[in-house]
Amino acid sequence: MLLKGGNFIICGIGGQGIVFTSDIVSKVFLASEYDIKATDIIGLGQRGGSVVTHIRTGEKIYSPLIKRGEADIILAFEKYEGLRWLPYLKKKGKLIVNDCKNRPTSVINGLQEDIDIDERMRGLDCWKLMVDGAKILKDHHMDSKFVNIFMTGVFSKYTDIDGQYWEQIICDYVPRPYMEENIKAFRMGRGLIQ
Amino acid sequence: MRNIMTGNQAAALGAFQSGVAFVTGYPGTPCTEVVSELAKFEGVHWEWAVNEKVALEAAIGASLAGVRTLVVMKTLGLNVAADAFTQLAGTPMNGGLVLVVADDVGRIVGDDYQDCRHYSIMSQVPLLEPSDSQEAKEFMEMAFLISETYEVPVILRLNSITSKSKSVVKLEQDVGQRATRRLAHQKSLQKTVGNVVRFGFPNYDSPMLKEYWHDFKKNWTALQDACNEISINQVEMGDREIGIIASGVSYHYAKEAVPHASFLKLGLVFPLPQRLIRDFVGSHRTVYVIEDGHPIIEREIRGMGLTVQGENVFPRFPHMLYFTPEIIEEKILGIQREKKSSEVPFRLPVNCPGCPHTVVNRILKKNNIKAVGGIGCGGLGAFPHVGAMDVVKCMGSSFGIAHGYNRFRKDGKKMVAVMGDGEFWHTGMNGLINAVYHKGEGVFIIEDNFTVAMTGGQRNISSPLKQDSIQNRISIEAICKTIGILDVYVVDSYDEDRLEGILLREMDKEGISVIIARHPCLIFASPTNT
Repeated sequence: MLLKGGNFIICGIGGQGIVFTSDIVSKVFLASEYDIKATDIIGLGQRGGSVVTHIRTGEKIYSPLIKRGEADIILAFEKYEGLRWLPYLKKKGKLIVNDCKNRPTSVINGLQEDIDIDERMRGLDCWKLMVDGAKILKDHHMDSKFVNIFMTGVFSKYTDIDGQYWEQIICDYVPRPYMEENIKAFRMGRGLIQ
Repeated sequence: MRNIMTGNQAAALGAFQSGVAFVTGYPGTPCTEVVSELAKFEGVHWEWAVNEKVALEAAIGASLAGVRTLVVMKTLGLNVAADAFTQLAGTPMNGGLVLVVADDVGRIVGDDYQDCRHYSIMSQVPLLEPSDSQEAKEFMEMAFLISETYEVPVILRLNSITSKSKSVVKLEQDVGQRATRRLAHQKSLQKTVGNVVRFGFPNYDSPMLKEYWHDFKKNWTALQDACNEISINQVEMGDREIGIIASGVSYHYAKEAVPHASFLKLGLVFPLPQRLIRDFVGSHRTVYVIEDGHPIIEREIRGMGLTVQGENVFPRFPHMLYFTPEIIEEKILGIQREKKSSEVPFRLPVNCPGCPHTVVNRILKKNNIKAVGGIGCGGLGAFPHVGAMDVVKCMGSSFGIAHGYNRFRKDGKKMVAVMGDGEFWHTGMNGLINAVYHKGEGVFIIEDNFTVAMTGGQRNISSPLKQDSIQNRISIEAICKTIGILDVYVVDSYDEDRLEGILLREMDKEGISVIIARHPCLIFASPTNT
């Protein structure tokens, strides 16, 4: 079923373009006459930190934050982060994950034990979709920096908003020299889902 | 027309539409963006000041000159500006003066548990708190109006959620620049003159002296009365069983969790609308106070002799509470959500790959050097997973701390002080001058990356300038030499061997040495930044 608004969490690590994606999603829903609230939570440190955005759209939105167990979709650009925010997913919610793994700093520095992230991901009993964005882009001779817009394309297919509205917003938002490639990446992501 | 914007952007737009002529402040997460947004508007003069106190003083001057003025700082910045702030309170303002202060309730982005409303109450400065972006814009306009009508400075309190959340704002046509005001009738712009002059004189009420005395109390009483009618304090009647008094974004959390309750939504948090509150509490069976931060409104209401539920239901210890709809539905309605943790390892903050600060951290750690740092990207070295520094305190504090420590050290090992270039100009330079004057000792490292990086790369006093800049650039090493330090070394931070060699050698010397470890921030050091 396609979503007319809802609660979305977009998460990953700093530098993956999460805030950019959150802006695109927000503007798309804004243009569709929804009420919308979006909150980017970014910790200390400029690159490589945990980044999470809550986006809520609907007729009238009060709280900008999503309650645990209330997210319709979690769009994760990285697997550890997808798992981190999983308690926010609805029982019948969708987890869309970019198949990318970035070991947390506390593991690299020996403060914490690592978890077997792939094993944990396989064991999840929720609806999930794992996509290797970078690989698919590479197969089409495209730079992996378009993963965020590619994943946005995948995500868009689960909303009730038409592809052309998404593309319109993307065109308005990205710098002109990158427009064509962004649209291409978006279409590839969107086209992945039948 | 509708647009979606952050609370910071909306506050900036509100200030512009109110005809703000001067905006200043010091970068601080989460409200830095208010200044960088206003910098985009034509006709607004903006400055990053060296620190928050100087920013507020410049703003006071501009207000006295008759223009609408905005000062922006995070809540810790108000500590730095507190001397100027408490002196300002009670002084008749001329051009409207609004302070944007952002609290980091619940420690979402920063490192403190402070609540700026204490300053507002302590100094009798009105405080407004918007709950979303639309209100950030509207309340800003209201704040200027209150400031000029009652001749008071006004605080617009944001927090990490209201600053950073994006929500829908209705746009009207740009109002553009308002005409500047003219100085009114004041004989004196100093609030204390009246008090000092009348001190000890029985004839203090002589009409001649009264001319010099600003009747702050008259204005304050008028505001206390008016706040019962003001449009930004609203009652929404619902269920008479549960009444909720809320302000800021916690209003939305409560509305989400308990939609059927009655609400008294406070836009003007101080002074409190006492009549409204008495009526509201009197007409509901149980009244909860839901406020982000310390239980301040609650205590004020209890002080009025009324019974409300607050801290007893929502305990704050050990963390300053930030509300969520979940906490509210759990405590008021008894709804329990599953609280399983996903047990994913933390991502503790780290310096970016290649960051010049990591070189200094590595040398400190390798040689087991006791070190003190401050706030900024350099301070990340104190996190347990880096473990390069023993102490981290506020902006610019490390030179003072090292001076005191080194004077009384027992084991002979001196403490090395580290600070960034931003910190040096902010308040750190004073610590260096103090240490020189008192013949202190130690190695003081200034990590110069040409920018205030942690908050997004704002320029500081020694950052490279744009070609057509009207500013003066000041040299760190020139200052160090001028105040009498003979051993000043400028080293590229990437030259690790040389940096380590100089540090170890200087640590064995008597007196003060300064090492300027210089390498541009890889992300932000560009003259095109604001």
